[in-house]
Amino acid sequence: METAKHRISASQFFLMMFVSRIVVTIALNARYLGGENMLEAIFSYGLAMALGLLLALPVWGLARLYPELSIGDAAQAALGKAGKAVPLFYLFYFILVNGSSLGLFQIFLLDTVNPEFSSALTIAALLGVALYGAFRGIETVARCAVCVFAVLLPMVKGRRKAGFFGWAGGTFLFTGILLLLLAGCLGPYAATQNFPVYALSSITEIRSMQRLDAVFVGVWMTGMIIKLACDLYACRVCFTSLAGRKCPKTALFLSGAAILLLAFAAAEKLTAQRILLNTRLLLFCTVGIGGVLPLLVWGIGWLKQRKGG
Amino acid sequence: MENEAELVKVSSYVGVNQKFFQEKFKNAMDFMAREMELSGVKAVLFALDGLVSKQIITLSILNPLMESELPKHVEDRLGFIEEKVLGSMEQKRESDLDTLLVLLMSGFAVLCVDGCSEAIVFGVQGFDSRGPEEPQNEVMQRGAKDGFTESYQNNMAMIRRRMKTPALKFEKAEVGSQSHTPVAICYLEGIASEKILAKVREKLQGCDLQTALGAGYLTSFLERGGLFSGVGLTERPDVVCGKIEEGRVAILVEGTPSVLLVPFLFVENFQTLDDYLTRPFYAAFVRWLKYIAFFVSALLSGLYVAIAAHHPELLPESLMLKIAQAESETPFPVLAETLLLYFLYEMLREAGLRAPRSLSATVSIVGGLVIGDTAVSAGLVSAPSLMVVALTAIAGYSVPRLYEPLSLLRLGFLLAGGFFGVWGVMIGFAFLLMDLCGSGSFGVPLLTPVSPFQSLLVHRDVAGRKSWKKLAQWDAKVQDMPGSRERGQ
Repeated sequence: METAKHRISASQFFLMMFVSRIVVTIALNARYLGGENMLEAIFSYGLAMALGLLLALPVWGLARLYPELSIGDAAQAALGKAGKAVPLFYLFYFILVNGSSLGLFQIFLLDTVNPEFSSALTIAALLGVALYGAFRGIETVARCAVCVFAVLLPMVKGRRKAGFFGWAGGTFLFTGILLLLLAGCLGPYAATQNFPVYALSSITEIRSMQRLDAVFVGVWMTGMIIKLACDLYACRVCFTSLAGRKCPKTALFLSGAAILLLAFAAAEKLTAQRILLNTRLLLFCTVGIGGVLPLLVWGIGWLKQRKGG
Repeated sequence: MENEAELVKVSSYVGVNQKFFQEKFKNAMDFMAREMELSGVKAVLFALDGLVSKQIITLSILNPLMESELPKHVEDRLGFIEEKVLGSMEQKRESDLDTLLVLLMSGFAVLCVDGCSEAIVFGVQGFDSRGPEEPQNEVMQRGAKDGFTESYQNNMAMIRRRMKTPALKFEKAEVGSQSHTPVAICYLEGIASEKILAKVREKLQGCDLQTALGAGYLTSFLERGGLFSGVGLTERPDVVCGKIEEGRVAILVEGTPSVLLVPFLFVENFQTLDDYLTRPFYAAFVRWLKYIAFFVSALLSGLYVAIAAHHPELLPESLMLKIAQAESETPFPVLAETLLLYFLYEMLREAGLRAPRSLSATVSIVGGLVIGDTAVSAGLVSAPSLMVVALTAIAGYSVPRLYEPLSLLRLGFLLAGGFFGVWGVMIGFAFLLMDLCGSGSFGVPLLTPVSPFQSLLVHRDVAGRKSWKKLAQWDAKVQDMPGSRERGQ
């Protein structure tokens, strides 16, 4: 079992999380928001954030119970060999979620941007850079997040709790303002767009933002790289928990290949698209893996520690 | 008599030692063996011509020896010579023949006396060496005009002259199983990190080289690879003094006028001694010019191709029309044209660098005429492409330390921009950032203090340059930089 080393600061970690989260919001549309009224979505997003805080409680509990262990290692400490299922679930979850995000990005490229060059090759290159970042380690990804989005750096320093609330609040604020702008500027037109954020930036009257569609997509891609690299590194941690030794490079390659395949499937096959871009399924997976599993591990671990005195 | 094949120690028979050296230096016409008789005892002085000063040998060794009366007891002979006859600063006894061989080839003279199982070695080096000149690759406006030379002893003296403190140390090391190149590890005791020093010693010991003909031979042993080096190189003693004061370790290699510096941060590529000799506001201005030049040199040609070929809507209309008009008159697509110009420029640069001095002017004229004038007027390449390639090349020279990685980055971004447009450039940029953020030098992140970020340090000497009044109050050691694994060591 490998104990975690404190290699990145709380601010680096939560900035990385912030980037990962806001990158998803760029793909917001009426379908994902579950209705045409985007202003209502601000309130819904607030509720979602509150739910997110609730979901995070078991993870905090686990971090207090096993401060040096990742969830995969903590599950094995609490459940024995059966605990190996937990990192496996997490591994599948990361592959699924990133396959879905990358697939969505490829659909965006094909439907909205329609570039002269291969979109499949573009997302493969994107994943390649993210894999490189994951190979170089969490420090690399975190520092890179600082570099790319230094402007958006929320004022979180040192303490994890402050960092967490800064991240949650910052993300809510960002998404709230984005939704307000979408609803305010586009009105009912927003509901007809697959990617209203992109539509908003293309028709903006702010001169410095005019015709910067390509740059906008580039910024989205850079954010995607951070998110992918961060999640691929999480896959690496899961592999390490599963195998009980350092994750081999091939395992990380396989995770990347699986994400790529899912993304291609989401872009090409309608059936795969229905599953991978199904928000209810993704919500179910997130609640199950992000909340229920840690709660289970924490509960059993807590009981075990109480019994053991 | 001892078996010569097993001979590793100096024999008490001078003839055996002489035979050993003659065998080793067979067909070496620079090998000299001066036989003599000192009070009826046979002795031989060995040296290599060209490495020693014959005048010093004659006046300080041979003459006093000839005039002396050696004691009859064998055990007293070497002690008598050392204490009563010769008064050289650099002399010692040695019994190991292999060590004597290395010393001989380093410019020492070796004296073997019959009956003595040790030899005396004298430092009588007298080879010619170039005097200090202004470094060609690190020209300064206001700094000192002397640069390192090929003799590492002279280089040590140049550093010592500027740092008159006993804390300044020069540790001896050796690299190259054939060349036995002397190396000096220079640092300030109490300032340099012990951990970093131990790593430097370990890495130098692990150098699996047969010969080390320059400082560059050692670079790959001191870094982990990657696009940007974590090992600095300087030809200036004042730069070395400034760096070791911040806790860095300098490595002086015999036979090369360049000194290696570790750990070396990415931001140091943009810093020159002139920055610290001019007014702070001007130093900050020049530094920002260099940062901009770095990005221009790396990204401009890639962005130009990406925008011209894939996203012309990003340009103002009039500029877009001008580029489109110029491109319509040339036979090649913009990517091929820019690549052609890029390779032509690199070829000309290499030719200008390697051609004999008498020809380099011709190369420049031919290059300037062929590329600058004829190619455009013949309609082979467009003027905007030529201007972009020239601009990126000139910008690259603003940061000469980064020229090598920049020339490859230019090519990479050119291809990425040509094939994937602006997105390709952005993916390439993300890759570059990943590489920079993931690299380090002796446990110190390469990109610190920018990432991991520390506002105070960035304001002090990265984004700008504080005045000496403020700089003097800081005790900034490289091992204490944010993210360093050697913090507090």
